[in-house]
Amino acid sequence: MRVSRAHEVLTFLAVLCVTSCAESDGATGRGRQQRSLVDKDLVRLDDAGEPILARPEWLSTDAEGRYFVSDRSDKNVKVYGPDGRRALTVGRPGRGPGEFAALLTAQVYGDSMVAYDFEGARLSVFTRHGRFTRAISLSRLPFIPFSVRVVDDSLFLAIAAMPGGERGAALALLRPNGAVVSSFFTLRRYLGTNPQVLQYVGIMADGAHGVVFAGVAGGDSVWAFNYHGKRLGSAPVDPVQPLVTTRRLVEQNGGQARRADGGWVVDGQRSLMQMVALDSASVAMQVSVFSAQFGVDLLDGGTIVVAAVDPGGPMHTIARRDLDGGLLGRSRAGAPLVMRYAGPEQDTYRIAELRLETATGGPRR
Amino acid sequence: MMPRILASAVAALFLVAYVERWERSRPAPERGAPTNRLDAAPPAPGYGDSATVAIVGTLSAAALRGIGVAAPHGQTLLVVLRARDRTVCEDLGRQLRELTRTAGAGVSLLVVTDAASADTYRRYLRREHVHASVVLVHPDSVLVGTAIPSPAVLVRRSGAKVHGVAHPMRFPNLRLRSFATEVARSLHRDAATRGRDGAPTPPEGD
Repeated sequence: MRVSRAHEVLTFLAVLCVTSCAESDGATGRGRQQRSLVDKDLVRLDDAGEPILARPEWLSTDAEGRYFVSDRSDKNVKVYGPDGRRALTVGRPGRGPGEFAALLTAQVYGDSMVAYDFEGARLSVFTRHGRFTRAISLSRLPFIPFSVRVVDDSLFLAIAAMPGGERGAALALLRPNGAVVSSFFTLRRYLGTNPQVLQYVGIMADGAHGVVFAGVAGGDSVWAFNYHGKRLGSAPVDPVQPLVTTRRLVEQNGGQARRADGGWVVDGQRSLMQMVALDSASVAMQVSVFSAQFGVDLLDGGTIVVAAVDPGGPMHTIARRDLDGGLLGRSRAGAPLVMRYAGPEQDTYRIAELRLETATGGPRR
Repeated sequence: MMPRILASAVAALFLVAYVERWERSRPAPERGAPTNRLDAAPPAPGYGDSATVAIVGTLSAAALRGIGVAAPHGQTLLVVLRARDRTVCEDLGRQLRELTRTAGAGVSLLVVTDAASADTYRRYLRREHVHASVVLVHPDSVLVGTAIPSPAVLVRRSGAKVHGVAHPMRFPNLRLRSFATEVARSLHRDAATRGRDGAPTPPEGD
């Protein structure tokens, strides 16, 4: 009897340990079942006579159902109510408190909002009403971040502009006071050291629900890590139509990024352009055709690929679809959010949510 | 004494070897190869440099022809752009939208560029939500007798005389003193010379 009770206690402790470990890794996967990505139109944006949204970079939502869109060109954050009407404009061009010289991203953070200015490596915090409260300097990190993502209420993910050196990590998880929790994602073996390659790649990452996903614009793979930087899995970005890496293109061109005819080896190549961490240890990625002359407008569309981490196993693709519009963020429920032009003039926008549905049209999970 | 000197020498050798190895591990640009995409960028302003160039001149026949087709009537703002301006002036889109708002209705915004850059600028303007027509005149040939620096904004009321400003120096990220600020006064002055019927009065010297 005693042995049986002891066995029960041990079993309970083992289950508790496994559960808590799984929670800390956050790797509660969706399973391998293939899903379809179904559009649900949410709202049409109305700037209400204010300067229009020019270059949307990232989209997030708050508890009141408002939409926060960082505008890289106007250097401010445009806030829209649940009905799509402009409610607020946060920040303005400049170099003072609450101003931005190079606004690269902004995102809802708890009941506040943070916005990252690459010039000065400054993360500014605003109240929900758009009042500037404080700035966090990220200039003392091992690298100057090119972008910062909100992972949850207590963690930010800093993303390097360029791949680090031999031991240089390209990602760092930070506390709100700027303290580094972990740094990881070294790319030297993957990318090599040829500056002709390093100059034409960029790092993409996002994190949520215990998993950080990372990839390279100019790479062919996506990786998943836990918050300690331990690798959970990896997969091709697009297994149906695999991407060609910039490294391979440069190597095929005799080590040079520029072709003999004056063009660029990356011109016209499909490339990873956006990465959004979703719920249940999964990630949505947008692949678009890169133009060396015109760049890429995410809103012109591309292929959306959703990959998921198996608990203790590899990653696998669970959904793929060609899409009109750009993947710009996730809803509070963890679903991908897409923004599209609402008309041929391209001066108005619509926001839609992508739902992952099973083949039978069942629920998402 | 000798062992200490020997130890110091060995340590120095190790240090030199380590530094050399560290340097070799850094991705270094090849000699003669461009180090980055902004190699062709204009110089950044130094202490005491004036970053704004004032321009007064006369439009060439080619420019007049192009403008006459695109905006035959009324006041015109000419934005003169070379191919590189789009990439080195990181604040250009915002400045052009602000310029459009400052000018208001009734003032045409034209982008003047060479034929090779026209498609790029048409697409750029669409993406930046700047409503402007593109006029194909090489920036070197916009004014008679002088190649103006760019990016530049010229105000033209009527005739061939224009005045404006250029920002030939590179300002990374943001230029606080924008085109709109700098040409606003002359735009408003021009508006004040309009007659009661709203038609522009003939400016002196045109």
